[in-house]
Amino acid sequence: MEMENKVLYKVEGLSKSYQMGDVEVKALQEVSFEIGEGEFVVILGPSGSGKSTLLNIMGGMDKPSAGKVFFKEQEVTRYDDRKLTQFRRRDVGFIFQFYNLIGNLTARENVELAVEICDEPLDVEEMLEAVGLEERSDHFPAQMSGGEQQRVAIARAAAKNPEILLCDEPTGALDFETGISILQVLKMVNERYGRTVVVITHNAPIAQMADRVLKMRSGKVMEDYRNSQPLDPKEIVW
Amino acid sequence: MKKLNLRLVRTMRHAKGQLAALLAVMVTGLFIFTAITSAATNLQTSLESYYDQSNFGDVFVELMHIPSQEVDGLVGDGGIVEAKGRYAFTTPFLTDDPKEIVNVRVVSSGSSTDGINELHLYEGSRSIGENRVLVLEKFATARGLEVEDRFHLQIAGQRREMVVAGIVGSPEYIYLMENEQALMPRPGKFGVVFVEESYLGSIAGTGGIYNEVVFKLEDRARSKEAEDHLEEALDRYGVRRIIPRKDQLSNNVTYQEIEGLQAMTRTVPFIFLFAAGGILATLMGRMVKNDRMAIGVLKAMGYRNRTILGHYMKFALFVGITGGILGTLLGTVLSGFMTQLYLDFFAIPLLEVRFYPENIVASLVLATVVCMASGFLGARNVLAISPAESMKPEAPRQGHRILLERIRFLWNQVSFTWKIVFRNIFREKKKFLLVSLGGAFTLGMMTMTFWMNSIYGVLFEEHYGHFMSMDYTIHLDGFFHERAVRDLGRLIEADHLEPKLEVPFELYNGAKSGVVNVVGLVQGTRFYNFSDAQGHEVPLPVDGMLISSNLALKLGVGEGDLLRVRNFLPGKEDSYIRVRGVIEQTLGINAYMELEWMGTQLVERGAVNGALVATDQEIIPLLEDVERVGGVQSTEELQAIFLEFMDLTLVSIGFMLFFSGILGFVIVYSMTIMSIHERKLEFASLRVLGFTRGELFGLILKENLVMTLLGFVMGVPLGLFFVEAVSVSFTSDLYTMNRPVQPEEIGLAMLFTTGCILLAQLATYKKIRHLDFIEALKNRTT
Repeated sequence: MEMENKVLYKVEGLSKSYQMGDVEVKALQEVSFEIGEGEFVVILGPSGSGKSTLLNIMGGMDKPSAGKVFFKEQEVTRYDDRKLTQFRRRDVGFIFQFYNLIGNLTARENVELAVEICDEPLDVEEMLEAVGLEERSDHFPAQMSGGEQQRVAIARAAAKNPEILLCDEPTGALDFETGISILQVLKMVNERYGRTVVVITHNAPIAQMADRVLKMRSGKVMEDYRNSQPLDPKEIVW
Repeated sequence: MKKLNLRLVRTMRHAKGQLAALLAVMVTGLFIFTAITSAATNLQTSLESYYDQSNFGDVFVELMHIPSQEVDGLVGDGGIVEAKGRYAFTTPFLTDDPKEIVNVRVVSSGSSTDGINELHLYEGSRSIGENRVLVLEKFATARGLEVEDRFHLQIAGQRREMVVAGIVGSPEYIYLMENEQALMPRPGKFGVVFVEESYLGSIAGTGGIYNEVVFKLEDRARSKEAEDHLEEALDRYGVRRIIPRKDQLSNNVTYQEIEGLQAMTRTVPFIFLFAAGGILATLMGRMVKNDRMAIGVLKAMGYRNRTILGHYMKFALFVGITGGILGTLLGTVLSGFMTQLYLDFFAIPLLEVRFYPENIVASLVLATVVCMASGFLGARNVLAISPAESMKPEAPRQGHRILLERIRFLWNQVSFTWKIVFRNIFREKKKFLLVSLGGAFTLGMMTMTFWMNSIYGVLFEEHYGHFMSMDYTIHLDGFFHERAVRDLGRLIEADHLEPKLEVPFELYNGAKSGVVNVVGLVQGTRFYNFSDAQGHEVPLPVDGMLISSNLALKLGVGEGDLLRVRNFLPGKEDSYIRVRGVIEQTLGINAYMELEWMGTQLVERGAVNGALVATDQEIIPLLEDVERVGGVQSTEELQAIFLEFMDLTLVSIGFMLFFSGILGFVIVYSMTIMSIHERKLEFASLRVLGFTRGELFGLILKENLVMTLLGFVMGVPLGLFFVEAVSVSFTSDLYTMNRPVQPEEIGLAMLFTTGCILLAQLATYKKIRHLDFIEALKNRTT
């Protein structure tokens, strides 16, 4: 997909450091980039490169030590807790490596939990169908496979109808085939619903499906490039 | 239903065991609170309403004799608005069994009304005259007397037949006790008969005189002024006692019971509520800790802090409201039973069993406030959870050596499993404290219960076995010379017989005063053993007096102090008598003097009005027709009454044990379940290492035992504190409960507490048995 003119995210000089015992850890060091609306972005980097920290700050779950994040020209990093909550509620959908479903709610109820607090959510049944779970919607997480649980997590995030999906190692806990199927679902959400998707991963082949790739190491963006011909997830092998 | 609420319902269903346990403590606390508060309110409102309707007297005066025409002249001065004279005395009620001692108080009464202390008619007719009399309901019921039945009284040495015209209640005899020395009502052995005044005058030779006057005051708050005025105005009639309403025996005992109930509502329920609050706060804290990731997800989704906090607070609110409703309902039902039970003791004809919305509201508010406060205390950490942080597994706690590990020599002797046990205990300090406190409170309450179980027996045994050891006490109909007792001795062939002089006097120390029976005994009496608080024997002094410790406390005096003795006897002035010693007496409140010295100082030389007897014989039939004998009391009979009383106390002791047990059970059960739930991964790892289920259970058992042991260390002083508090609040003119807790009572309490804790422990075994360690190791759902 071509980079659109409209910038959704603008990250400027973002730094984050924290103390771990006597040592100061610099998780992010003056990171800057932009993400356009509708892009499928993969942030690639090894463990400890700062990608999860970056994702958390972008999603309004954490605050930087320095720098700014703009979302649709609004400076998210200046938001107070109330505004950040509103931002997460309206504009962002999170998908986690370990799915983090609510154990004592069924698949459908997990999705409904998310849409209950949104103004213009998507249809829950439609989302469950879109992720291929219409038959399993009344099952509890403990009765589902990892892949199915991650599909529920995607449906839950997407059903809120957010501007962007932030996915933290969404295939990290899954086998290859299941991982590929999850990437297909994410691609589908990106294309069918026009949502911006940011996937962070340490798995380099996944970068081949992205419109744009940000490579990170030691808290810095080392490389920022665009794929001229993104692959279909089915073509990816690792 | 909102999905968060649905989650809450499922969470509660999953934790139903803990929830039920928590509710049990909450409900127990509230139902005790509601039941006792309502019973006390029922009793008090009924009592006051009865007093109002019957125009119950404000001041009661006992005197030698006053001409009946003088009584009306007392109205108008000293705030007195009404006065009613009467003649009253105690006399034998004659039964078919010559061995049975039954006394009645005969009271003169108006033919159809009394004005003050109006009688409440249960059955028959209020109209009396000649030998048609009214009988107090408790006595009539106990003796099976019905309207138109006939019975016989010994009046002025003659057998008199009476006919029951009506069965009545009197505000003066709500709690029917013969005197302050009686332990409890004996409705079959002591009653009250109301005889028409002129008829009584004619058969008892008391026409035209009264020996008691009851007064109504304009303002009862100014009773002291009226008492001072009456003391002056009635001096020439030989005032024996002036009793304000608050000290009137029946009223005093009834109010002591009400105050006892009210005092209980201020302590016992709060122990349970405090425990429930502690468990709830811990449960909520643990729940939030375990839900850390779920809370992070909710925050990531855009749920507000207050919504998530509210989600957990709803759990607390549910416990508060459910506990409040159940506790209030059960308490209200029980209050009805309790109030009915009071009918056995307190004859209040207008006793009402009512629902008090204010008590129900108070109970619900109390439950909600305790639960919301505890819930917030436990769940407040929701606010501090950062969504980003919560996505990562919690960093392991920084390890450090526990105190015990630093003592290398000792630590090296400890086995591996005990090392795990000690580390867990020291690292879970809050849980450690709560379980220990649970054990401490349970032990404390059980110690108090076992102490209370034995205290009445000890009081009785101490008083009638050690303190005084006569077989019979004979009451004479007035003051006689010692020779009268020697004459009695010839009639009954006693092993030992001593004369006695027992007269009520008002003792003063400055503004403090109290009316007590002063007892004159022969020097070297074989029937009384006086000892001080240290248990040292105290001989009867040749002059001065010995006083019981509760009297010393009441008057604020000690050995060597001078007391003013207000003397009501005609021609006798008030005198000052020195306290020669303070003695321990478990039942009643008295002063003791050497017989002859007391006679000389306070009555007249050589005067006696009773005798103490040691004999194996049945002396009652021998004394039945003896003119000077007013009554005979047997110690054996008192023991039988006491056993009856003990049966009743056993019920309440059983309740107390049950409630105390619930406390220990629930705390240990909830904490253990929480612990198992949180340590699934740890236990699963240990199972993988080869630990059996039994060994895992043993680990928890050992942890709880160590915590319980510490609970015991705290529980013993706590129990002593409870006992001290109970003994102080129960010590009155009737009882002196200063017996220390015995080691066997603490031992029994420890045994019961351990039993409850082991039972709770066993109840948790199922959780260990069903622990799926493979699932525990792979589970990542929140």
